[in-house]
Amino acid sequence: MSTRIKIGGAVVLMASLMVATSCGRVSSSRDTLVKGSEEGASPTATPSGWPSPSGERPALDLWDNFGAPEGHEVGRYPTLRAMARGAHAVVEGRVESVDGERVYGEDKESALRGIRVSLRITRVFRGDLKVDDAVPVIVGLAYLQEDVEAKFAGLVGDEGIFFIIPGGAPQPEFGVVQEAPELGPEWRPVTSQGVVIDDRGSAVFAMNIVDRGFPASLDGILFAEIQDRVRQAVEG
Amino acid sequence: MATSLEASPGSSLGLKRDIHRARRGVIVAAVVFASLASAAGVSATNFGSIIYGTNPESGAWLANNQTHEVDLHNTTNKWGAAIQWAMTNALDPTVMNTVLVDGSVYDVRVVDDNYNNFLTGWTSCPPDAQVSGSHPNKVCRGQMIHINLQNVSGYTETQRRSLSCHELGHTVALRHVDNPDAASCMRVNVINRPTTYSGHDQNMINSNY
Repeated sequence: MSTRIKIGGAVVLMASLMVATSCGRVSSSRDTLVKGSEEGASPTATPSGWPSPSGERPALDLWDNFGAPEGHEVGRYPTLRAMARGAHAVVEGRVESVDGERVYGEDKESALRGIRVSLRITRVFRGDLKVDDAVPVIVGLAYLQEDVEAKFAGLVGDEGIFFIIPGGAPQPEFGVVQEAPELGPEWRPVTSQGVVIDDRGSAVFAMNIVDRGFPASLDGILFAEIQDRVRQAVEG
Repeated sequence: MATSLEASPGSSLGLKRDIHRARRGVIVAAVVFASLASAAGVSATNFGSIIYGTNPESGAWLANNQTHEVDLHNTTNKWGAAIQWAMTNALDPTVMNTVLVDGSVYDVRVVDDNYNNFLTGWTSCPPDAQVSGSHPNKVCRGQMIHINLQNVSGYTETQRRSLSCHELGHTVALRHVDNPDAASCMRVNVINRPTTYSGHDQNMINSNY
């Protein structure tokens, strides 16, 4: 991760300058955010009301874990609009905590632990969730023996746009018609395409994806631009 | 896989992908170096242990020998049958001999459950597995195949056999085949995907065990 951060410094600076110099677009999108709770506010708060990330880049290498390069995804969305339609909620939010509490499988030897994060919502593009809601989202899996909270602590503070569905919800567009109500309490990204992290003003489809599909043409654009495109996608 | 990872030059993501490529370059370099240094002589094609992404538990590994002990751990009937079909019809035609076991010692344990993610199946080498060597010759005894029942409820028998063949292939170090039309269950394209290994896959197995 450190290598990526070091090499990316110049680009991040350029992206930051681009954001700063295109303040019209950025401020217009930021203005739509609702200020977070007073508890979360601080003297270094960003326009959205959340604490400053203290100069740290998002934990892209941690998000990278949650893709499916060696596995098989249930399906791929061809467009941002299709993904927005497939999601039960399209929200912008910030990872507040990592709570690896969900365990799958009864046998300790084969048990997997759901990497559960608490996502504080700062903007709702689509769905019944509300700004300031904190929703549990399973973003990936790890084996029970691991200290999940420690391993993935770097996710805390990352902000982005999340295309999510309740964990047990069917995805008929991919032929998944059976509901699994026991998975319902937590949400999950619709596919590995469904997490777009704000990398200091640039949009990064953060999960490791075998067949990138439409994200290949959007990765790296201004985050404000992806906000606009998501808004158009949910309205379309 | 790499061909689809494109982004505009100079963009942050372009940089990210460049680093992915650099990482792959390091992996490739490691593969070449290890191949030269290893008596096993792992092929640079679609064979050899590998970590996908940055998760050390996720990828493909070599089996420890030609006897591949598979534990169907409370699997549902449909998936137990599919795995057994793939053992007999995909892996057994190679030098590998698959054996069903029931206990705490196994080469591969198969579990199926509802997992809250977007995968249908995957292979992993958990922390308590017995490992030796280094990539691309890393051996893992005690691998896991996970089938996500939530996402495969609509699978036909052929699709179940194909996915079983694919995941079993990873447990003997077969990697993905990029050609979407390859006559192999190891290809990523799942549409009308075969239920057995190609002759090339079989040669890779036969020449490395």
